[in-house]
Amino acid sequence: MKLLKVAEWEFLKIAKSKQFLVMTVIIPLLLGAFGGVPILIERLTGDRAREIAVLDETGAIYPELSRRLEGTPLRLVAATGDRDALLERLEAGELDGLLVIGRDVDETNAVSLYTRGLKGLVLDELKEALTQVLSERRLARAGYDPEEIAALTEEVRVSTIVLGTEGRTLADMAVPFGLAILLMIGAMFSGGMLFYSVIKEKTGRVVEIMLSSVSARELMMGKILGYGATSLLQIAVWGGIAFVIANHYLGISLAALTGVQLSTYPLYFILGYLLIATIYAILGAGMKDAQSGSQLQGFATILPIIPIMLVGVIIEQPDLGWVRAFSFIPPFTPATMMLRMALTRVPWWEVLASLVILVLFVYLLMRFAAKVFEVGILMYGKSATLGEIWRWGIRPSKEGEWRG
Amino acid sequence: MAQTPLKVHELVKRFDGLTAVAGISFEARAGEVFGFLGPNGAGKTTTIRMIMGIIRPDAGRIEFFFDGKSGPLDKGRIGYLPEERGLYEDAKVIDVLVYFAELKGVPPKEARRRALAWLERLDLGEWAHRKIEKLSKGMQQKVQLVAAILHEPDLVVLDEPFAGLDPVNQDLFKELIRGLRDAGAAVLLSSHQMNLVEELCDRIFLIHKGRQVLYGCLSEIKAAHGGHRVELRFRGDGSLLQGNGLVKDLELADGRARFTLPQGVEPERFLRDLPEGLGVEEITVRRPSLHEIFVGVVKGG
Repeated sequence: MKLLKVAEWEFLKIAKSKQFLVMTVIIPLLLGAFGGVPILIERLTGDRAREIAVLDETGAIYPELSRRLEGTPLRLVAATGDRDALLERLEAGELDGLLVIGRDVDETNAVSLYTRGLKGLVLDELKEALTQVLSERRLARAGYDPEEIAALTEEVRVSTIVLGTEGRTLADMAVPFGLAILLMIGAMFSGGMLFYSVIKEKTGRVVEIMLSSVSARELMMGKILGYGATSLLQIAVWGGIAFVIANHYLGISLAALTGVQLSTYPLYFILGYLLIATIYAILGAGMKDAQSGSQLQGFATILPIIPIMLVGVIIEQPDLGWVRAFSFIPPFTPATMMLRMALTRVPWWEVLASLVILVLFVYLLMRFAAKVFEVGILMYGKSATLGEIWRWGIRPSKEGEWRG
Repeated sequence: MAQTPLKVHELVKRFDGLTAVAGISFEARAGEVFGFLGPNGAGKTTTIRMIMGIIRPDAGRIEFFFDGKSGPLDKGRIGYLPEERGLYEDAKVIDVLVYFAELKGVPPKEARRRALAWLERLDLGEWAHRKIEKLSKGMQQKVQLVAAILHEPDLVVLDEPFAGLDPVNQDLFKELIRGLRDAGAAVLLSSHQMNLVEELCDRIFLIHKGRQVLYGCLSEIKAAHGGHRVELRFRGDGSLLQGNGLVKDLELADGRARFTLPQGVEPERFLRDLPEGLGVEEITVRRPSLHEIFVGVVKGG
């Protein structure tokens, strides 16, 4: 089938190109590195910056405190001698901090921490550890035995549960949420490449040679299909990298995806991609070069990801009236629905209705696009106005008469 | 009886109220080069795009006959070199050729074999695995022509194939076109360069402002729009030619004369009656070129 041949050609052409390699493999690795750099810097500088001398006048708190802070970036060293001498050393930069625990600390419940600046110091961890050590000392003095103390001071486990999410945790939502955004970005990206490919075929005058073998409709559909395949490949690579990182560092697993999400996300992605790609095909066919397309293209780019830009609101209130309404406005549907389904339980009829509306809309849009494509791709050196594009798209088709 | 792969009946196309093609009819026969000629903007490319099913006629019919049967447009049987042509710049020559042939229904292996053979024949063998963008413009045009005929079509439609070619490649293209004709294809050759292509054509259709000007066998047209063109260089008195009943459309300028002998006047008769005192240095007598016939018909109405 010619359509598939066109799709295969377009897919291989992109998949073998250097830009694709860069965008698909190198950029995510860079982003990973970019995200990892602050952590790396923290680790590299942490050891030096957080060496804190402890002048423990009680003599009993330092060992316990030091034990509790093991494994944190704070490193405590026991200090002896004169406070002023130690302060001089701090000022000279030999120490990063000086913690002075007075002999009367059990009564005053206060300590002093001297630093040259607060930068890089995780005070919360130090404060928490001190509080615990001191409370345990007080409890011990009050006559509790160590087991009782451990039970009494056990740390509270906090799980964050957002209202209306049926008990799902943030981690459970992060995966579908991330996937939703990944899918939309993937669809946008491939749609954009399709746009440039159509323009290039026009400016390179390849179009008419192609039309001597395939119909405008086959050419358009083949391109959309081919770029869809590159999009899937790209998302698989991006998703794979993201998953490996998330799994390794955050312990997140794909089990966080529910059956409903697993079955509907691919549909929303495919329909969302078709919608975006078709809009781009229309724009590509109507524009004489990439520059004249850029303004309209910008608009087309923004439209389907408006829901992602409004993600703040959607996270807070995924069942809000206008958020639900967005679910049924086709350009917004894929992103809105995927985000909502990540955050809350969406009634099945809303899912179904949104899909039906989306399928219908995409079908009509593609018919419209095919007609625009027939006229637009042969127009050289002149960009069409939106009015012209509209007239091309709605003109009645008289296929039987001429194609046979 | 020769096959006739293409018949066009009363074809009409209008754009925004302007009539680009105003009801023309013609046919292209197997084993001939059919010249579809006319100045720029006459409606040639529009007609060809209708034949190729790229745009739709407003009225009229296009019939195709392959294997003796009437049928719909079968792009696999037609080769097309558009006027606006280019190839995927960032792809390899051989890949592009195989891709286009596959779209025409040629199996990939066979497509590859034929493509390499053609490239060899056109001295492009070593370029097969280079990218199109590395090729010179002339080389690219050769590759485009190969792409149009790799599937061995029954009907070959060439829109301005000589545009931008140097004289050496023009001759090469002419030879290739004759080869296609001799192999039995119907070649529809569209061009505005009438003088360049007339020697190639067996039959012609002259189009002007969307209408037929002349249509038929080239030699018959030449005979019918006869007369002879004469060009003279002389030493003597040019005014002796004025008032000569055999001389039409005389143009005189320092030692040169150009004129037409009206239809029915044999060159021998004129030569016999050459006036004394003209002092002829050089004389050329020839049939008018297609271009001259065209201009004559269009002007004369």
